[in-house]
Amino acid sequence: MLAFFLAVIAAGVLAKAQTDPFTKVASIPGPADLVQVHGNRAYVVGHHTLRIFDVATVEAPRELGSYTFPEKIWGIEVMEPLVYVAADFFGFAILDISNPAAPKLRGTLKTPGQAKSVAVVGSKAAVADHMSGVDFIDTSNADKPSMLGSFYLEGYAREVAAFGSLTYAVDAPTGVYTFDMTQPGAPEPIHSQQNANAPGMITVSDAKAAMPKLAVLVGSGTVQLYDLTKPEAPVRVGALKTPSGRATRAALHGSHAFVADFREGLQVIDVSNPKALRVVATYKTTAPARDVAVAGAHAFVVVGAPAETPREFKDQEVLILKHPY
Amino acid sequence: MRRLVTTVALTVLALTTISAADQWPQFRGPGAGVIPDDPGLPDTWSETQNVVWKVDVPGMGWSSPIVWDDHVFLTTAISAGKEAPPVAGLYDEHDHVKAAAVQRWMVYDFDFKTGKVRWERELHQGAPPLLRHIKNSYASETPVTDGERLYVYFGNIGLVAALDFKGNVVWTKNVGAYNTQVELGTGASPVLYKDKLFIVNDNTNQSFLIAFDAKTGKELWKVNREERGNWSTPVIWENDLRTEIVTTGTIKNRSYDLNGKLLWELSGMSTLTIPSPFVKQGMVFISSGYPGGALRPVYAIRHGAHGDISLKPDQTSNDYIVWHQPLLGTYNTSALVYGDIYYTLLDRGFLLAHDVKTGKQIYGRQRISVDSSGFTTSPWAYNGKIFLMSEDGDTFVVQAGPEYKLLGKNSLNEMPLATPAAVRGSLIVRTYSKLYRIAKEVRP
Repeated sequence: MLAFFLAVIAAGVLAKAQTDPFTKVASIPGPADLVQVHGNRAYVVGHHTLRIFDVATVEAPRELGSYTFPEKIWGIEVMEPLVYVAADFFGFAILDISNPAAPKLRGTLKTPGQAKSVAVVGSKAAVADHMSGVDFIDTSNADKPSMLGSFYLEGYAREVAAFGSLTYAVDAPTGVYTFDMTQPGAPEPIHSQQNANAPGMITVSDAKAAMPKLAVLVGSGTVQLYDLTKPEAPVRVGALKTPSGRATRAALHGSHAFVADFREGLQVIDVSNPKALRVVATYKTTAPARDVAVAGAHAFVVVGAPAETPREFKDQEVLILKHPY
Repeated sequence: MRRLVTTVALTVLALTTISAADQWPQFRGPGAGVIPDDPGLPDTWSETQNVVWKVDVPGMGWSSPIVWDDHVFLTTAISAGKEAPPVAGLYDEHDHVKAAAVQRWMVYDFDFKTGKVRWERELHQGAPPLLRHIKNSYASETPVTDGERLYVYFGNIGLVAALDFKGNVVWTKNVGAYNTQVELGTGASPVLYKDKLFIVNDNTNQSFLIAFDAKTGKELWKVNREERGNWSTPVIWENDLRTEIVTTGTIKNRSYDLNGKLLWELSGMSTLTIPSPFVKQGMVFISSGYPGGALRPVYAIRHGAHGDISLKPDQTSNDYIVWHQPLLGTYNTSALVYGDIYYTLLDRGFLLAHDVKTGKQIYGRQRISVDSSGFTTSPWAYNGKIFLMSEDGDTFVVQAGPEYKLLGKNSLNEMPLATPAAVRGSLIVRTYSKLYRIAKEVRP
């Protein structure tokens, strides 16, 4: 009889392990809208504020410092000891975090509309701007960034991502644009293509890493996979509608895409076979999952409803989950 | 002697009588933004240059001024508190706002000669029942006049009113205050044809087009519409066959006869419909273009249509759609046909030109200025020039014709969203807090 009960319990644990292979190890309290992890540091954006955490001991994140902008932070690019920031109507900013306890604002540049996302290649930044499209900024003098010019996107510019010497831009609803950042001044796209799923977000695999070289686009509830073998001309190779239909952001980790799938929590998608993308694990969150970063064996998941006032931040946090992928 | 007196009297009368062409009775005037050439109309101005008068306008309203004889009519909503000021440009978030306080919905009559307030009339006081976009106002619908009465519509409270030119209320009706699908407030202006006043109200409750007897306010008919929001002012289209009321709509554009009977319909619009249709060169032009949407169409339609005239997937034209551009539509501004060119002012600061008869591109996107906040005011034209007023209060003057050439910039340094009126050598321009009469020379 005892053997029977043990067998039942073991079977239950095994079944749970297949559907929920995550272990929550810690959390970072909100406000939280975005998260990135670089080395032993987690960068958590909550509305106007960027906070820096030491996550060397991942079970006990320790806040090192913070910096608050006058406007909402929509995107960051971390290239330590600098953080490039897209801060809404405040525009583009460069933050020096050499001393993370006291981040220092270096240069700023007002962009024409809302600065929504930033990607940096060498001494040139590309900023997705709601009015002008993609603004190109010379950052060779971090104290005095200067505008090189803009390229207008048909839809609303949503996100930019750097991949080697290239930058990809996505706009909703039109498509995907490739810019060669080594071209002098403000480059024109070297490639563009339509995308029917109104992409709102793009993330790419590490350009320096071995294969696979991939990009994941998220928009209209769909995760789309692009092959970057020929990086100047990404090829759409697969797509998957997520359970919530409201996936917001994703992170690539080897042959898996970790997707913040709003009310359906975290979804892990096996992207090793683009023709047969499939969810291999789910972590149900109590509040909507809105962003995710992956560092080694840990996923950092932003949860909580989006907020416009500090009063609404109460359910926001960053969950730190141990994962087996 | 008697004959001489009569001749002199008639001459004086001819010189002083204001013709119908010298009036500006509705949104964008009688020519859909095209003003008859007049050497007295200004090309250059500033806050002080060529300003005949400038007056403060209380409250906030984006209705456009209209002019009849010596009357410049304007509506506004005056808050008892401090309202969030508008934010220029197109953006995510920052958008929905609730009124800070009770509002007074007002009508003003300014003297065309002096700018002095002839009369003001409060039509309603209370808390606005609906949210608005931070760039919208509670008085965004432009009034309309037949020269006898002024017809005012405040969609946010559902109030329709007719006033005489002394400011007396002749009649009022309430058509109801309803949210649109995105709770951005209201904006579609009333239109008038002879003795009938038409109002389109598309909302999440029950959308409708309604007709009133302009003299009495009696409801003549009301037809329901399957729509959920609309900020576009209908156009009355008098063509060789009939007179029709052309309305835009996210789900369908529809044209009705003067009794509300559906004549034709056309699907394939953007998710939000704001630009107003207009008639030029025997065609009605319909467009919409939410920048975040996949459809941003322009349609040029000839008269005589019936039934569903929607394009099939492989079509770019059909028996009634003369031409179609799938991605040319604007978000807020209405297009301009001047001469044989269809001008498109993109909200984000570009001008394009297309052949009005064929829809073929004459020139592609021309950036008007690298540092403009955006454009909502619809363009206008006279004397071979096109005027493009940005949300910064800068009016860019562009040469009309097949080549883009920027001629100059006139700054008022305050946000405008309303479209100016132009009559008798004067521009009447509304900015956030002011009303200007701008002219090269002072004329009666």
